[in-house]
Amino acid sequence: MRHIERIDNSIVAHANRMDDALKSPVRTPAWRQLGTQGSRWIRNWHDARAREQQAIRAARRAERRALTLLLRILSADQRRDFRQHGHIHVTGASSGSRYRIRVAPFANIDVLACNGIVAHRLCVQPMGELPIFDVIAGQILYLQDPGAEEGFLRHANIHPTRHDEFMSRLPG
Amino acid sequence: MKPASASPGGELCIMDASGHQQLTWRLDRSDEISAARAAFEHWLTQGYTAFGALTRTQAKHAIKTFDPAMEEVILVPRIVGG
Repeated sequence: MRHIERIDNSIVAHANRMDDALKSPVRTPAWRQLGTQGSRWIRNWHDARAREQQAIRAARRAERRALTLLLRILSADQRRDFRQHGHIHVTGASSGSRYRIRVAPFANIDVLACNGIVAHRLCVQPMGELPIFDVIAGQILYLQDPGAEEGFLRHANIHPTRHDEFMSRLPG
Repeated sequence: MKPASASPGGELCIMDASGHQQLTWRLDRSDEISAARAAFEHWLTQGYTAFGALTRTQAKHAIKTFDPAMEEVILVPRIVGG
C-alpha cells in the first residue's frame, strides 16, 4: 500500500474512533461537539480529495484519447515534426499559406512568411472544453481542406508576433 | 489489423470533453449504419463540421452527407475566434 494511502486510511480510522467515542448518552460538552465537527471535516476533506483525483484521471484519459486521434490524422512528416519539435507544419489547402501549429491554449497558429519567420498569429479553435490535442486536430482538419480553410480564417482573430520574435527580425 | 472474416465498416469520432465519442458500423448491418447516419446528421445540425476519408490513411476532407463506405469520419465542433 502506498504511503499516501496509508496516511488517508489512518485519518479515516481516527475519525471513526472519534465518532464511536462521541456516541454517549451523556450531554456532550463543547469540546466533544468540536470533535464531531472535526471528524466531519476530515471525512469531507477525504471525499473532496477522492473526487479531485478522479477528475484528474478523467482529464488525463481524455488527453490520451485526443493525442491518439491527432497522431492518426498527421502525415509521416508532420508526426516526425511533432515528436521532435512539438509543433506541426501545415500548408493551407486553398491559400497555399504555411502555418505552424504549436501546443498552446490560444493564438497557437503561426502564419509563416516566405523566409520562415512568423508574420502574425491566429487565434481560432473549435468551441467547447476539448482536450488541447483535439483542438489542434480540428485546426489541422480545417486548414487542410480547400473548402473549409477560408471559413476557418474568417473566424480567426489576428495577433501580432511576440516581442522576442520581432526583435529577432531586426538586423544585428 | 482487422481479421479477414470481419465485415468492413467505419468509425464516427465526435469530439467532446472526454476526447471523443466513437460510433462504429459494419456495412452488413443496416441498423448500425442508420444509427451512425442519425448521429452524423444530428451533430451537423448542431453546427459541427464533418471530415471524412474512404480509408484511414487518406487525408480527410469536409463532407456534408454521410457515406457508410468511409472508414473514418471525424466531427469537429463549430469554430470560434479567440
